[in-house]
Amino acid sequence: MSLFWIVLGQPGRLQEMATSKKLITREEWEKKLNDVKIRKEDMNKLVMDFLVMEGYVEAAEKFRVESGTEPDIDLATITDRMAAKKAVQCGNVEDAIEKVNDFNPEILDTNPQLFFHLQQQRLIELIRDGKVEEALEFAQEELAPRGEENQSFLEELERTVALLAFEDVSNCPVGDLLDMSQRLKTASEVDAAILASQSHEKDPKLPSLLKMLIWAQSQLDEKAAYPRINNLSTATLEDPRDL
Amino acid sequence: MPSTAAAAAAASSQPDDLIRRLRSSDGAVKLKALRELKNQIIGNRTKKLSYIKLGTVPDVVGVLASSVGIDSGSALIVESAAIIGSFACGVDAGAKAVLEAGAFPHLFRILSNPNEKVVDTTARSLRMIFQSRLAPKYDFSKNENRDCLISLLNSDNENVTGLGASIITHSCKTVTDQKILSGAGVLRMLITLLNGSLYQREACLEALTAMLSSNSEVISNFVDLDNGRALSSLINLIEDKSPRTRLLASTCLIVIGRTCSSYLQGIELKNKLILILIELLEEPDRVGDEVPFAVANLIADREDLQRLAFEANTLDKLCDFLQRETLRPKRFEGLLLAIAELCSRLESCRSKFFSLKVLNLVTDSLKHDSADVQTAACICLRNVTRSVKKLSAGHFMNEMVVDPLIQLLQDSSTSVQVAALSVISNIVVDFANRKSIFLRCGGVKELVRLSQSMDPTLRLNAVLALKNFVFLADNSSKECVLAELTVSTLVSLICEPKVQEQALAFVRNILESGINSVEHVFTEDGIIVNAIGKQVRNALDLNVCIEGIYALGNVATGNELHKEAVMSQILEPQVNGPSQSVLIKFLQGNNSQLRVGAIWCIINLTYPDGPGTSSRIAKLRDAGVICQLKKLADDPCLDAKFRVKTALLQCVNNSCAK
Amino acid sequence: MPVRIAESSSCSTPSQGSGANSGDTLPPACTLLSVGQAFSGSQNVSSLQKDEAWKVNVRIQGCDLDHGYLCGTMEALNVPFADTPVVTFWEGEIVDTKNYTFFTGKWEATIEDDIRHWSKFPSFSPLLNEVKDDGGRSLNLSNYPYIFMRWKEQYFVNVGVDCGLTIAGFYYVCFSVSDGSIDGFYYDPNSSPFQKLELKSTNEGKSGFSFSSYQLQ
Repeated sequence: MSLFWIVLGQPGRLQEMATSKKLITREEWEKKLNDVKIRKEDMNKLVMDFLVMEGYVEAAEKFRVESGTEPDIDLATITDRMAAKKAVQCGNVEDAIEKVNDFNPEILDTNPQLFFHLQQQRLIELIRDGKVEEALEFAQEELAPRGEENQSFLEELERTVALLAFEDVSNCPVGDLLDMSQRLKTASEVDAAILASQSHEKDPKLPSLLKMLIWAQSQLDEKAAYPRINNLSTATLEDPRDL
Repeated sequence: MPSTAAAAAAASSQPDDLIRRLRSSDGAVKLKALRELKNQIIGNRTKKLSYIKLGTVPDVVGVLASSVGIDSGSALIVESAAIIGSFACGVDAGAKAVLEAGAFPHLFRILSNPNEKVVDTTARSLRMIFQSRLAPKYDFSKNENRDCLISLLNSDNENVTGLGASIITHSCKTVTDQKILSGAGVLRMLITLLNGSLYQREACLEALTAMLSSNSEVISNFVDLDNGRALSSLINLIEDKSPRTRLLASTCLIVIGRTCSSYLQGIELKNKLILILIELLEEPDRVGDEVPFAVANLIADREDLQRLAFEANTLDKLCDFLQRETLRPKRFEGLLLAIAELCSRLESCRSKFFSLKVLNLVTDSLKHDSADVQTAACICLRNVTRSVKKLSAGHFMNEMVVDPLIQLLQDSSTSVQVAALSVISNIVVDFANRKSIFLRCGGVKELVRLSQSMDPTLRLNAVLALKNFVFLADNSSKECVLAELTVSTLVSLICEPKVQEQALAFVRNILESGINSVEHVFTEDGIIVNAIGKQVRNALDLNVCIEGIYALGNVATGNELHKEAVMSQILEPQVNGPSQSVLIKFLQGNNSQLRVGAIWCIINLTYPDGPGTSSRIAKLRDAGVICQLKKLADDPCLDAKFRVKTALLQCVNNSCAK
Repeated sequence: MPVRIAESSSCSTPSQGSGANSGDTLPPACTLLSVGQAFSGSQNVSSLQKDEAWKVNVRIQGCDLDHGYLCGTMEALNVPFADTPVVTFWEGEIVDTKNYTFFTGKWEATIEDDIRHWSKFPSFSPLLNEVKDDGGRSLNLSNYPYIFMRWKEQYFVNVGVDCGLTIAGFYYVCFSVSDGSIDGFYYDPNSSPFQKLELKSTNEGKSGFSFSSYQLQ
């Protein structure tokens, strides 16, 4: 340690950032794009992936014949998956559970969260149908034990049971549970679990590629002016704005 | 929630009715009942338990057995096999019931059924059973078993191959098992199967891990397969799109690297592994729960990996997760252990840990419901309290930390007690004069109690903690400890083989602060000094000798009486040994620490200006000690060499002064 | 759950069970520099005009030779303007040529600063030529009768940062194995140059030297 001897203030220097953006013309851009080779088979796989994931069985079958692209799962299982998904979307949760168990009895035994959400959806459907007594019994018999096993399940259960406390559920704070979106959420969980059991990712690749494109463009916007794609459905290149 | 009597009655009558229908002779009725049962129990632990209690499992196994070979039996088999598998899944009582009902041989027999759906379900069901710890160990040494396993792995049906892999994961536990399977070509089969479906791949990765674990021979077989292509396909899988595959492949690679670090050498690979695990922390459910354990296992005892993990911000991530709400106990435990390993060696990690402000959280988790979490919290605290920088600031010596730890010393689980002791051992090395806080909290009382525990590990660790507590402690703290411990207990600890090294080190620390402190061990006719002398003369263990000679050296910093007591202890010939004194033996020893300890003892005995110094020098000369010292004038250990110089100089100066 | 795998003897992982950097698992290079040992002496704070010094006590608190690490406290007595002794905690880098070389590479010390300060120790001169190139990386100092270190104070133990003293700098330190004496020079571009620290091993008035130890788990 030491006594202070000299104290020098060293004012920080601010470095000025270069602010000018680079301009890339349409010609340069297209030339670069042409240099990127994308195999036809890869494009076809992307399309097939999309059709399979979204459950377009017939389109997938036709595309298979026309393009010679083999899907990486048995197309017949798509029908089973879609049926289970659809059952949840229509509010027939019991039916959906049976279908999942027929498809593969391991799924719900090894995925407590999905099982809980299906049971929760059943409870929601009972409440929607005004079957208060049945709903209460179901909550107690089937859902309460799950809540004991898992704190976050308990919180979700409490939120769901709260639906019973309101006369006008459309205006209550937990009313969102009765929305169609809740069914869709549960249905997509079913979809994802079945896909996972088939060694498949739960989201199609195409949308994430588009998201990546948007992100990459926004990153590039800060550094350059270039022919941008503004309309994703047409994918036309817009001329770069004059600087 | 209220439940109407009618509803309750309906609920209770339903299972009876269902069981009745299961026993029906009408196939259609039976099938319908099976389907109902299946859809009730899958995913539902409570339902499983209640049906197990009602004795439903033997009925279902009965249906399975009786449906083999009859027309339209397939559907019944599919349903009953699915039910049996579900009962065994995640519920020990279910696995037990299934095994007791004799489902095993039936299921194995049905595997050769021509119907694919039947085989699928049966294989799945068997796999569930093998995932239970209660499943019997599959004996690989029997030829027929080995053949059966290989035919399973050769199957075209992925559920069947997956079953084969599960059997290996469950039953391959010994080096012999590993060698038998490796010799039967199972490694290659598993590698081929890695190209299959997700379930199959994951089952194979677990089986591989079981086969490679701690077995360098099988690991080198694996690495040599196809010119290393097996290893590279494993390495590729750590980047697979399935999180669980990534985890299992990483775990397998970690197992390889821990046994043979040369296969996990490249910095790129190490970094990749770390980044993949960090990313997997985000996974919900089982994968995310297991990741922290994999991280801990990867970096345990490996400073290079700890450094890389630290540079990849692993600690920030782990601590960030630790602060999230509603953590399952398993994940909480894993996170604490991973943080513990990361902070085990590098001070930079510990610094970071303190700056992340999670100490309170970890301290709070000492009071967690789960003993595993408590133990993990202790291990984490143990490792972060290795920071002398923080110890020096008295960072941990406060009631908030100390109280719950002392509570844990009374825990019913020995492993929790030992873990808590290890933290306390570190915390009591306090340089900020705050040891009285520990005394006030009753910590010393507990340590003294544990120093007399029936459990030898607890005894040892309690004495070690007491040793650390009296390190540079003030006189009053030392007096409190000695009063609590009593002289007779201390003597018996000094004489107990496994504990004596620590007990002697404890005495050494007690004796550190001059004459007053030396007086402490001269109560009751010098019984303590006698005990030390006796142990030093008879000990075979090097560390006991070192601690003992330093303890005597510290005694020799006292007054004339003390010095004379030491003289008689170290010059007395050894019992049953050569006639030379223990002091000469130590000076002649190979261990430099021991030599230096002995020399310090001589320095203290010949310390200038004592009225008895001359006579002690004479005695030492007569005993051949001075002569032996001179031989060490060029000791290869510099410390010994220079200390010898000091000692000899004191002797010379003394005779000059006369 | 992955389990901890017992280390196989055929492989090269280190066998230290707990991995603790404990105070005493390795023999200290010198017993006089082991944990618990005390030193006393003075720090000369003189500018050219007048000789001014304060009394200094040092105690070693931690030692981890594997990592070339040493730490302890430094107490300064009769400090101008301070009504109590000022205690700081410092961490030391032992120049073992593995963990640390003679080149500081931080704390605003250039290689020239390093050489200039090390050269103030007579015991350094035989090493100078080898050090110039790479900080002495190829030197084997394990049997050298002097131990070179850098002590960097980390925080004030008993006073606030407004105590009028700075710990922005660090000490170049040389410990003599033969007599346990310590010489040091404080370096801080913003402080008076070459403040000399002179310490001697002390037994604090005892009739001999005593040694204590602790063991971190």
